[in-house]
Amino acid sequence: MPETGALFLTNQSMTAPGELLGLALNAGAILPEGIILLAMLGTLLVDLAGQKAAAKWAPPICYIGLGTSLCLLALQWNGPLEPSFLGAFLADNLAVAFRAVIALSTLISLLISWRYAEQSGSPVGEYAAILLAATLGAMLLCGSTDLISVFVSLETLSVASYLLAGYMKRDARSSEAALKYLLVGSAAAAVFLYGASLLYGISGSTNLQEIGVALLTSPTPLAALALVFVLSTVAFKIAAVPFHQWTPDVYEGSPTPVVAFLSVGSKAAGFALAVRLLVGCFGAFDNQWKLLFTVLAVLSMTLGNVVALAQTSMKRMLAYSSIGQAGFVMIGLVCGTEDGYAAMVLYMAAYLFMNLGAFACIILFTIRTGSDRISDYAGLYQKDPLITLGLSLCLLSLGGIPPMLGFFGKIYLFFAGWADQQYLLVVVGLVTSVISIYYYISVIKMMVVKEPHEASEVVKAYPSIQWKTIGMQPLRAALVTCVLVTAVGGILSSPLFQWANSAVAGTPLLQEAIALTGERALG
Amino acid sequence: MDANLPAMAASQAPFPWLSLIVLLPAIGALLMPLLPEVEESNALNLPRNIAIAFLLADFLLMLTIFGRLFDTQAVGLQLVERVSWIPFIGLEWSLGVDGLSGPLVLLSGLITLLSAAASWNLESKTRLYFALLLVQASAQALVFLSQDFLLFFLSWELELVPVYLLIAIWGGKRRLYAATKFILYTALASLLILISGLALALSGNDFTLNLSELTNRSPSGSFGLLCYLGFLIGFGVKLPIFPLHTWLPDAHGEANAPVSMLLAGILLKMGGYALLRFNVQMLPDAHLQMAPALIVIGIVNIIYGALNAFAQDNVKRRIACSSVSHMGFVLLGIGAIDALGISGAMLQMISHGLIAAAMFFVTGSFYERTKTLSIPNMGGLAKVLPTTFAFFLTSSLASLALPGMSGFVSEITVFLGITSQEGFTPVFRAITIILAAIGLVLTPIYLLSMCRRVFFGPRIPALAMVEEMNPRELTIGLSLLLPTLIIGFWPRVAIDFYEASTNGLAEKLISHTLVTLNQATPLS
Repeated sequence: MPETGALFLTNQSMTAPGELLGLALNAGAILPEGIILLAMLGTLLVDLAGQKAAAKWAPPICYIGLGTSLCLLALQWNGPLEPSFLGAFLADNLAVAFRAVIALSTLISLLISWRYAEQSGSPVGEYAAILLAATLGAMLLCGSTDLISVFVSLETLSVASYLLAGYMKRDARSSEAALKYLLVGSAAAAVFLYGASLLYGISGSTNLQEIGVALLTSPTPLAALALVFVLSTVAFKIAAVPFHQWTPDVYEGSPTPVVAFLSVGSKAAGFALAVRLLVGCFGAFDNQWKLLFTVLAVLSMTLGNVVALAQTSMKRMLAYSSIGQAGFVMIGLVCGTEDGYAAMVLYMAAYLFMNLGAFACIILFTIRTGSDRISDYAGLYQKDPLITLGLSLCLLSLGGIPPMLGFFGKIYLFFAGWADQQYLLVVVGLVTSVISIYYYISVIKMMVVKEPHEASEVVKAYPSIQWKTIGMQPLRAALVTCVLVTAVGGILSSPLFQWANSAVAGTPLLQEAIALTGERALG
Repeated sequence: MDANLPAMAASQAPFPWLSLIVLLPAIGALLMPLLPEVEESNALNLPRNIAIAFLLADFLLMLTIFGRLFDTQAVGLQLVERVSWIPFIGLEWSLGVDGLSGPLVLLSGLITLLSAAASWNLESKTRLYFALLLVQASAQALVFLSQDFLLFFLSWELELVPVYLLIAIWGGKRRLYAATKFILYTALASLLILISGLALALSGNDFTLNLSELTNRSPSGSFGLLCYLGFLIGFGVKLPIFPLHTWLPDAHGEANAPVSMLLAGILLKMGGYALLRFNVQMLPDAHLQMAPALIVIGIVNIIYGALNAFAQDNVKRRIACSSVSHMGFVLLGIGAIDALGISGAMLQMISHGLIAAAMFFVTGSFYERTKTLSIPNMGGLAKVLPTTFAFFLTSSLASLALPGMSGFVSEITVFLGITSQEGFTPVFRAITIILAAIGLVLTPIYLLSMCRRVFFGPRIPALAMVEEMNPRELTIGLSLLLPTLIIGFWPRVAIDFYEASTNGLAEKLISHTLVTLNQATPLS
């Protein structure tokens, strides 16, 4: 390690071309992202050929791109761990797992988008291209191990997200959401840059691992300041209270399929970033960031779940519930044990299916009725038992009712938390889950309990169900997949647990952190 | 079947009979969405018939298993099945039956079957109704049979949503209020169960969720006491224990009669069973400390429940409050910490399950005709409905512990258990008996006065033309009251079933008393 005094110069010499030649570029690691980039270019090209061609060709291009990308990710699983791009990217199992979650969430979001975009009259090709760009950024973010690559991918994700939020150009609320998101997001990015510049100043390197080592040898108050800046960016991305203010407004104004992506894909990227930065870089400030994260988690769980009680709009309710859900995931991160990280990965994957399943249902409902109000769901059971069943199962899973997938995910988080003596977090988590059961079940109550004569006006005018419509097919497929995984996945979740555990086992970064925490606990 | 058995025995895996009991209703529930919705009341009611068929098959299966494979002399678990489910959180599909759970499984099978049969005339959303009923049947059986803490907790929570919807959709006027109250109480209570269970599971050197292994752990001191309190409050909501009972009159009063049968007949027993399984069996030291407190709470339950019942103008709410009162005897029996007391508590659970279900059933059958449950709005029904009256009176008499009925045997056993417990001072025992006896005197007053006001007195003209019970209803009523009479005259039928286990439990408690005494004497 270079002396702190001569940082700048040493760093210059380190990045000298002579040394760089010795390192392999190892570009194969980002092949999945490359495929997505190709798919994005493809959709842009077919978009040039006009609306009709785009509507016809964009979906298959996206499916093929995302499908191939997922296959390549599967091949990377447990692969050799060689840093690529001179230490800017690492495809460890954690990165692969989170990238898979993101790619899958994009795939499902796209499946539920077509019909929605078609109905709102927006060009499909452009939309798909921007969503793929966001995916690209999010996926790169998961594996980034360098401040520069972190920032670049973070901005790719963010800029694409702003565009997506404002995609309904004719809708004032959508534009408002985009503007709000842009303003808050840019501020967060600026704060991150400031934090990153401090880190570079302290350590003289942009590589996260090297920064981590530098911080470990000489923790300074300045580094604590950098921690706060970086942490606030992470908290902004995962929408943790008190950095959540943008979430309800953006979720309510944005097109629903975009919200589906933002609430899962973007959030997963945020958690991957949290692991990379906090676990990988701020090992020296372990106690500090864990304390801060505990506070954030408690606030998120409490505020998210309590405010969700009062919502009348379905999307807003899901926005607040997603804040609460992020709080649950943070329990796993704070634990810092093998089980804790595994529970985090598992819950993220479970959340993907249950949340997207719920979004698929509410999109289908919105397409048919044009409404988003919870009270408008009254009496839906008589008109459309299938959506009612699907939405009920997904909401129950989000609430943690067995035997859905969410129950097992939550139990695992609580087990890990209790084993690591995070009693406060577990108790708050449990109490707020009960609160969440209340508002999830009141939606179910609205749909199932209301008699036909109590049904809302929109449900009375509900079109007779035509499950055969061609345009509905992808949406339906996504819905059925998500609901099935949510409902049956819990009972058959042993492979999923296996997967989450090997994601942690195959990540040196986490293994080191676990060993470190273990040593501290012993000492 | 026999041809398959040797092959299975060779691989050390006997046929999973208990899993079959649990899964059979669940399979029935999965069939429900595929059936056509019943549009007209005269049409063939396929969901109902299939549900009844599944529940009947399940009940017959239980009878066969307990008749042929269950050894009533054995103390430990029988027919054990252990399959690893999710090893990462230690979840196992681990089932087993002993004397504590066996009778209650049988009771839940019978009552669920009769409750489905009592829902014969249900017209709205039949598919959903019977699907929920079948899920409920599975969950109940799983609660009693599971031998893994997490599996137990899973089934405990599983029953939450079906019961909520059953109350919220098919209940009375204030059904939403009652259902929400039910789910909030139960969900909050289950937090404490989960936390106590987790703490226990993580307390030893190695993590385990298996109930038998946790039982061997039996922690003492303040940690054991804290776990005990967590379990007590958690299960106390279900039982219910005095300050935590307020959901019960609402839920039982607002649910329709078949669901009330389930609630009173089985759900309350889940609380009692769990108290025996967790608090008594798993934490004997803490139980020995807390036993007098349980007796005090039990007395409060008995008297407060009875006094509450006086104030109710609604037939079902009055019966619900009487349930609170009767479950006080279960607490007394558990608190008596001897073989007689625990045996009495078990018998009280079985007998109250039958009697309360019978009372709710009869109430439901005349509610279907009179469309009212308000006591002041009724009168003179004995002339119009002599058979219903006979049934109602018989179940009331059973409920007030008339000699010759099961309630008498169980309550007298509990009394004997307390009087014969040398561990308590004579004054404590005497006061307990006197106060419980006051409760016993109050029961006939409120039950018989209800009978008088509903069935005698001036006849209400609007109720003059109602029809009498039909053969189906007679069968259901008799299937509940005959066991009550049989147990009343020949209690051995029921007691033999569980005696080995309750005696084992009592011996364990006694050994723990001795241990504490022996440890204490050298010090003093």
